[in-house]
Amino acid sequence: MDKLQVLWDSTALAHFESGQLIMMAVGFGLLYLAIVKKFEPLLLLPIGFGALLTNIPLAGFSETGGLLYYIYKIGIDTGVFPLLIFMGVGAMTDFSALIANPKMLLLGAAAQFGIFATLFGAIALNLIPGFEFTLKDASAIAIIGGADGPTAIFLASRLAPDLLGAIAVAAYSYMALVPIIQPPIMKALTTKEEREIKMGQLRPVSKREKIIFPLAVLFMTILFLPAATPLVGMFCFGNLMKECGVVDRLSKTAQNELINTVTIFLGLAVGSKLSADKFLTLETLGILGLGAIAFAIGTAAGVLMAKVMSRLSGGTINPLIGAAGVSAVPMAARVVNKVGLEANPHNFLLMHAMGPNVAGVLGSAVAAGILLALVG
Amino acid sequence: MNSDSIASLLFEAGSLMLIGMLFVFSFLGLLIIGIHLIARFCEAFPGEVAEPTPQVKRPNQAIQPGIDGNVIAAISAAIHTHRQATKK
Repeated sequence: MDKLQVLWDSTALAHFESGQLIMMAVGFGLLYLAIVKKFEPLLLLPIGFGALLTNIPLAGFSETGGLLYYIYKIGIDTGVFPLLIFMGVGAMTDFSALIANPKMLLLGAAAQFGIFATLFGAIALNLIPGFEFTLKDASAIAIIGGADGPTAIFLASRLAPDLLGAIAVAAYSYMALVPIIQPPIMKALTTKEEREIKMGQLRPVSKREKIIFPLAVLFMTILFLPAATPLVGMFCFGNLMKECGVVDRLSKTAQNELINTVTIFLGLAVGSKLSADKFLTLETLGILGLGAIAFAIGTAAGVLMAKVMSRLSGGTINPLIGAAGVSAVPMAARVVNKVGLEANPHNFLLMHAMGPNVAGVLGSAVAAGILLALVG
Repeated sequence: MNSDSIASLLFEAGSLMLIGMLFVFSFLGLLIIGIHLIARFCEAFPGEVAEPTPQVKRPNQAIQPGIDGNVIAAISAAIHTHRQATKK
């Protein structure tokens, strides 16, 4: 009989807590979104599976000595994984649309209003009993508005590691929901005539300009915002590898094998933060709500800025491209293209939207640097 | 959390918002100037032939109603033969 008792004690059945079951259901939910709905599957699948693993009773995946514990410790606690991802993203980014039309940087800047407005909103949530966000927590939550997964994870790992799971899940879910969140806002803020505006052909950009550009961005960051150099530096390094043309092998590795490898571990490690005690809180609800608001405000700010620029330029800028200022490359640009095509089936805005889109990546990295410098 | 500390936090968040947006705009604004300078520099010292930006494929250009399909086929064939012939 004793043996039977011991055997029973060694099964998970005897040790399941309700929180773990709920979190496993959340993990299954993420797997469902990834596999069936195809929402950001490259990240939600590993995150969902990580959530399953970390909530297995007795297995101790996320306790000292467990696999996920070490992956988290090595990759996210140190900030290494998001930075490696950022290098790969840099190696995949083509800045020619932005270099050809540098004014688009203003749209990338305007869309960052989503971040700072959410920072304010997160602090205002403290007025509701039950919420206690510090300025650091609020900054980490606000960065969801940057619509940039690696930046959000990097900042959260620095400022509010306890909220990292919820922040990463919110950031990636909303990035997947960009095609649903953005179009109503874009349509509400623009008239049909504005959506029909065709934009002029972009000028050709020389290889030399593309090589100097990442170096110039890095140089400026070194001078004015050293706190952002981890993010911007790795990004520019990846981009330089791509554009210089002499290290194709390294560039290919950065944008394929390396980023894929890191994505697997990053996803698992983020999933390991989805434990009941950290995730099933009122704060998570607040974070999910604030994230959606951050996206909406960022989109609106970008579109409004583009409207102003459109007026000032005499109607040569389609205000829709402002929505691409929230990074989410290239999803946001595709959404702009799609909404533009709905208004005018011969109007292809994709290349024009790529300008503000990559400007948004720089903008959110700069915003993250500011938050690190001022709050961290 | 008492309302006093929330008020001071709110004030801090507000000033962060102001400073942050100001900085983002001025940083990226400076970058605009930087890109113009780079373009000017590259115009003054053109190293190589400029490569055209990759253009969005416009499917409507491929099937223009005015042009006969045979003409397109003939031109494509000619280009193909030319490329084959000039290939080293």
